[in-house]
Amino acid sequence: MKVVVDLNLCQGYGECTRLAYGLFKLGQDLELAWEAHPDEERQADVEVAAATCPTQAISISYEE
Amino acid sequence: MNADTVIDFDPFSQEMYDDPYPIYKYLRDHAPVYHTTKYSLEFWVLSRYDDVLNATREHSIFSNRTGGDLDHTDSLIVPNHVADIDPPEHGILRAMIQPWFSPKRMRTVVEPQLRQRVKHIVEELAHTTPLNADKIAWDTAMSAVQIMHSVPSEDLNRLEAWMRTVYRRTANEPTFPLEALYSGKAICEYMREHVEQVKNSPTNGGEDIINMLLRNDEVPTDDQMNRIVPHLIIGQSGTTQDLICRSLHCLASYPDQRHWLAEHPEGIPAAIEEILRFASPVQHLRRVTNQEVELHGVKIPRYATVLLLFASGNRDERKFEDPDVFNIRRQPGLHLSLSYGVHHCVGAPLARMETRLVLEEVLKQVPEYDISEVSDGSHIGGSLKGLFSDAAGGTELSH
Repeated sequence: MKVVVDLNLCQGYGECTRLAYGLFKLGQDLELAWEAHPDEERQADVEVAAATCPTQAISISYEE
Repeated sequence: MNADTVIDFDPFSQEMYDDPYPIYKYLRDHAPVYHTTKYSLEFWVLSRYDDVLNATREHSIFSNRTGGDLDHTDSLIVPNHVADIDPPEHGILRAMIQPWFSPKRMRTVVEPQLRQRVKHIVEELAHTTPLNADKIAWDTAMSAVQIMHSVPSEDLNRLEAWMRTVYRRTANEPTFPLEALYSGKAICEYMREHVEQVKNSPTNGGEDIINMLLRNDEVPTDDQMNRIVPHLIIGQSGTTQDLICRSLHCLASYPDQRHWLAEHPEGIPAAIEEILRFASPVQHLRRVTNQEVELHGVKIPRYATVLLLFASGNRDERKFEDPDVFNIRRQPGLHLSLSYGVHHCVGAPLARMETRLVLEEVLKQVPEYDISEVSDGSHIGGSLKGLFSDAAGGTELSH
């Protein structure tokens, strides 16, 4: 699983930081840092975070 | 209360305002899909975290189109307002206002002014004992309303009086009071005229939400403006104010945590999430089913009114460890208090900002503030389980 965030779309809502706790973090300046290759067991959390993002900034790919 | 107790869930009762949590627990454990025909209303009630969460996400099954308030406050004041409609129209209207609430945008356009005002509000009130949480909360909220809508200063008191009335209720009274309707309609009429004035002369450098709406590629029709703008005011008529009051009261009730927070203000955002979970300013909202739903062996028919008990889900031990323990360092933000799905509270970033600024200023200026627990009769407000009160200096702590 690979997670990509479009930082032009990201507006710092932080829904991902709550829904996939620990995999996304907002800095003081609302800049997002994220885990690009999270553990597979977090897949459901990451998918919910991506679905919930108000600007749809998160993309997930499932290539090996 | 045990399995043999016949529960009578009455969302309008004094008991619900004093302490609903034992009732919620009973519902979760013994009647997760509860049915009643109280007050000649027939409705079903979902109380478990997972069921409420799923319902908020399944908007095609659980629709908003007949209103979010059990007594129809919102839909009587602003029929078919932006939150009272379903996709696809909902998405079109919501997309017009969502960008105003962008945290990145608000950081530069809203926060500096709001911070200055909150600093001043707290300075004025910091050294009166007990701390007047109600005035801090409402002055902050009205500052946010002014920034958001460019309301002239001389009109803020009138607007505040109407806003306070919209969700004011009496215990054991399920009916929607006329004074609430009149106040709500006054808000609508005021904002309608105000929008016309803004159209003719842009105000506030144009960064308020009215100017943003008018600059939209597809300019909203008058009908759309009238279904969006007043609802934004109604949506702030006690919700954020209650969150701010609850924050000040909760922290005062847990002085060790308050002390820690004063030393670690970076913990304030997570503390606000825990207060949202623990206090749940909006206890529940209403849906109507578009099809029959079967849950826990109970069939909820089509066109049924269903109450989603956010506050109950927030104390569900199936989701939260030690759910009745207030802990500002708990993993934050899985509460139901701002809902989920397409109707997730659009004002959430602003409400969080207002509350954060108040806590930052209060904990900086008067971290050991003394706050009253005078019981003057709860603030009773429909789906709001309020703390603020119009009685001068009086507030009631409800858990």
